[in-house]
Amino acid sequence: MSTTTVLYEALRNFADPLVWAAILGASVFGAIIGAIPGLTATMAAALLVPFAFFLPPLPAIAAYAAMSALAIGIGDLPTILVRMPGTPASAAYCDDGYFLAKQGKLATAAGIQILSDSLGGIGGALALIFLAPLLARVARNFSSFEFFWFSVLGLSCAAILSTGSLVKGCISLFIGLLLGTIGIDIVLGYPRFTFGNPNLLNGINFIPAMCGLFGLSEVLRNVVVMFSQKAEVETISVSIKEIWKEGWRKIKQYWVGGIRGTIVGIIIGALPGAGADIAAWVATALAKRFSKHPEKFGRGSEEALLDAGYANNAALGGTWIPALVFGIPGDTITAILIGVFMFHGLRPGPHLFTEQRVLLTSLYIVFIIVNLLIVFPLEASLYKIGSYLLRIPKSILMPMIVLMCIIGAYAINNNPFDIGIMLGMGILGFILQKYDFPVAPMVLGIVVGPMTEMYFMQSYIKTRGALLPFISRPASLAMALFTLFMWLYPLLTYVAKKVKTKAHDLQ
Amino acid sequence: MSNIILGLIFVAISIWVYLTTRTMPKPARFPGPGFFPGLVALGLLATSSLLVLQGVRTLLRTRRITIPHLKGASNFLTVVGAVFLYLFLSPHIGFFLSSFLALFLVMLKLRARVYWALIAALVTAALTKALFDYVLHVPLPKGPLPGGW
Repeated sequence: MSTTTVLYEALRNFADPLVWAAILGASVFGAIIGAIPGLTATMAAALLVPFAFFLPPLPAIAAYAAMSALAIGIGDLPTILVRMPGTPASAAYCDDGYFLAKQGKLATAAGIQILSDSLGGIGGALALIFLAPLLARVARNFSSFEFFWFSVLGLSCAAILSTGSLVKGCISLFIGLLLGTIGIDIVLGYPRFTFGNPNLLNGINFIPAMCGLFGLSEVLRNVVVMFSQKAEVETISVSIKEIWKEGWRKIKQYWVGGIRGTIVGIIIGALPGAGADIAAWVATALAKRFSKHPEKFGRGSEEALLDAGYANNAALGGTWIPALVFGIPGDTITAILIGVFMFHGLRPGPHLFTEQRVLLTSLYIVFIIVNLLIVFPLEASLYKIGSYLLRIPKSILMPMIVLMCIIGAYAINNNPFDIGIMLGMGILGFILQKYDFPVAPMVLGIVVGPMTEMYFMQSYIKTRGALLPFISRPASLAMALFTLFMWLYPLLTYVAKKVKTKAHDLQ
Repeated sequence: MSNIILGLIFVAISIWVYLTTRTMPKPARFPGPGFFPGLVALGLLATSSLLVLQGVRTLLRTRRITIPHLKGASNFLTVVGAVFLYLFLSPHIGFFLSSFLALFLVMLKLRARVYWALIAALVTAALTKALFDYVLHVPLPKGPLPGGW
């Protein structure tokens, strides 16, 4: 099929009103979840699951693209209005947004935030459009050896790049890997850790697990601190025209920061387990490093807001690259998305770029439509009603989310056992997050673990037990060395820090 | 202190997993079903032992034991209890009534006003039932009310 035909067929998909309904509905849903502090974009992704399963593939996938862009973007609204990050991705520049608004520059803060989201999102989408097919072309020549190393690399990145303690990141990863081994093994068909329960023969169902880990655990986290966090919300009023005017002025003024933030977002987004929140932190740190006014950071810096805004939405496009090309999620949202792909009979991997060209081209169009046409009007409108949105009582909202988690877990197989899985994973996620264990490595462990084992077994059986072929092909050797470097990286930085301290003490 | 307790729990889990993998079949020509989980269990054992050591080091340095506080525990238990309540009741009284009851009780516990809780629980349960049963055709548990509600 020629490129023109693919593009024509992809555009024809948009004649279906269901696609538009999914995009608009998911955008509004994402914006509402993102605007409420304590509710994350990943939670929105988990709650969207029961709807995504009953929609055809394109509207389902389009809903995820739209929802994540809006949830991450509008997470800045409570940051700016009440100094409470709407999503973890907004935490990096929380003080900057808030103090800008306090200085009477609400339109500037809102303008920078919305336009940087929109333009960063387009940057991420362009990276996805141009880089993903190129990578897929390269990956088509990969054998099970390269895929094995790539999945090991993805797992290593997830543990090493996760926020917080490295040891806790590794423990989270190993727990995920162990959960991924539950069920019948791929070589002998032997049931592992099923306790004689037939419901566990196919392993832990991924979707109930995600509803628990990101839906129920967030509710539990919210309800235990509910009455200690009360934000005073003033009624605000800022015109959409003013937001647009002020936003553009700053976008033109700090265009270098915009490019830098977009590149940082794409690169970090493409690393498994990193995602938008880490991209925002790195972009803020880089913006401070290159700024002429680093003293303003944390006290109302426009550059911090702009660079990080570009980065966190560009990261979204970046996270889809490893998810689509290798089936290795870039973040927790794409981990859930892989589940949606699988449910619709679509297995992410390089072959997707030859077999599903129309679907992928339609997806690229969705990314552009959302970032170009929906982000600005919807987010700017929410700034007008944002103060009302922040007043929704959590005592009403949280139980509703619990019901969505119950039905999300149940609807996939119509099996009450899955509600039990959701509950168990919710409690596990709550405990881990309460004691600062990152959850992203665990999710990657659940998704990528079985793939890693499968590629290892395939390769091992192919070579009849010889291990040298695992590193005899140039690509697999390069990936093995890079993985080794990732493992040694924390040790090297530790040694370098020690040497530096010693040298400083000697002076 | 929490690092030591959680670390010890993970150490115990990893030892149990490792010992379980030793009982799994071992084919002669390739690694058996216990190979991969066994390897992962060893990784978990190593990292959780490290977490325990880190916790002990912090404890020796600060000489202070922080006991995790139980503030908000009743809210936590109410939410968990509501899921159990739904699981227990739904096969007998159906989706609508059991979800309404679970929602209403949690809302009340979270200090929502009674009439708001009643309206919100009723509307949410009814809308969810209508959407998933009639539009998305998910076979939700039937109740004693007319139309299976």
